[in-house]
Amino acid sequence: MIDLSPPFVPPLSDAWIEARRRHLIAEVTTRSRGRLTRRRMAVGMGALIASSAAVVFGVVGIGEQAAFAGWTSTPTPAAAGQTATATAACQARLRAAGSSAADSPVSLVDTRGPFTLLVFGDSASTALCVSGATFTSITPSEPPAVPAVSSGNVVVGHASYTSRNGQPYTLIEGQVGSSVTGVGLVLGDGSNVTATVNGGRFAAWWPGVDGIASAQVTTAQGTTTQPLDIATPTSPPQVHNSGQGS
Amino acid sequence: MEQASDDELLWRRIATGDSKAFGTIFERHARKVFAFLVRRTADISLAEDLTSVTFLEAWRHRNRCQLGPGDSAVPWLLGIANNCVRSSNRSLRRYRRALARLPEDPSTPNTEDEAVARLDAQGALNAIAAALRSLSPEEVEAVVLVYWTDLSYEQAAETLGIPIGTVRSRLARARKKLGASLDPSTISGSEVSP
Repeated sequence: MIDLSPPFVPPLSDAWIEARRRHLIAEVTTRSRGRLTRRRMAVGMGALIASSAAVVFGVVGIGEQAAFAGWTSTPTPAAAGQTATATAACQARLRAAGSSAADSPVSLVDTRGPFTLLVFGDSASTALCVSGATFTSITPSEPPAVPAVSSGNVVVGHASYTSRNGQPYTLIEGQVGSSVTGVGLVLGDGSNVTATVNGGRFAAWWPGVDGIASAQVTTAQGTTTQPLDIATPTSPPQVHNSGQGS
Repeated sequence: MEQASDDELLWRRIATGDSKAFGTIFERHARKVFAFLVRRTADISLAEDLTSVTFLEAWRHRNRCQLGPGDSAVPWLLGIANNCVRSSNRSLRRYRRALARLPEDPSTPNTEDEAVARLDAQGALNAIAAALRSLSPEEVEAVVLVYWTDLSYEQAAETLGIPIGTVRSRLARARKKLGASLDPSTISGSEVSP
């Protein structure tokens, strides 16, 4: 028997409403101006079109931010103290959330520029944590499946995306077979992200909400392509999923 | 009723491009849209961003909203919000530049207590999400709109663009699957199904 009383929703403050209202008005005003500019361009002279186009492109570029500046598609070596700092921040977050994963060992560290993804956990409790200069975000995950993955294969244990202050990103974590030494991910847009592989697990994350088309699995025998077709961490972490940044 | 009437008047101004009137609609209904999105996605951070996306989409389609005297804009806004959830990756992509310009969140928890409260809420949502896994997405939509957003059956049907009988049957299936206990006070009006 399930109680379907409305789940509690944390209240939005007046400051939040006001800040978002201002942002909304600024955005819709800019969009209206942009549309008007384009209409004028359509009926203008060639020279005017050229100069107006420059204006429009300029408008589009304004505010374009590198939400995860410094992120790299291939793991990078950690800076001195980077992993320890991220570990402390993540453990604090996990403890605040009451997660026993806080006291679990870190089984994988994935470093991409200034960002660190940590996989906490053992067979009982698992969590993923991304930590950067301005945020630390935890995501619960399923403990590794048993039995182990067959040699040369990868199995996705967790794939979700979330969005934090307008910064969506996608996380994937899973297990690899004993002979796997490398995992490359081909995203839905055709770009590539190299995962970190360690201790029978792999993990990666990337800005945006692109799904995963396939994995390039490397073993001593060479590299093979394994279809993953998770074009859907695209499926929103709606009610059916447990992915969540915090 | 006065507020609903105001919605109609405001939307006439919005249709002419009045962004201030749109800001008033946001102030009035953002919390309701956010609550729907939290319960629909079980992800507080994502729901915050999708709230902004919902209103940006509402502005884009503002001429499609036809409110009559006494009508509230809420069902129409929740319909857009629901579509944003269904295709949230596309919605987030469409408005990625606008989202990148969002101001620093003034509500970001500053104390450990606030952070814990937020995480507690998230934990409860995760539990609900787990409980609803047996439902189809369409059944979840009906549950969230009717039981958790206080829409009447008619409003939920309008929001989803489906016949009222379909709303009833989806809820009936959901209850059957869940063996759910329902608090009658959470069900709007007199449209309580037998």
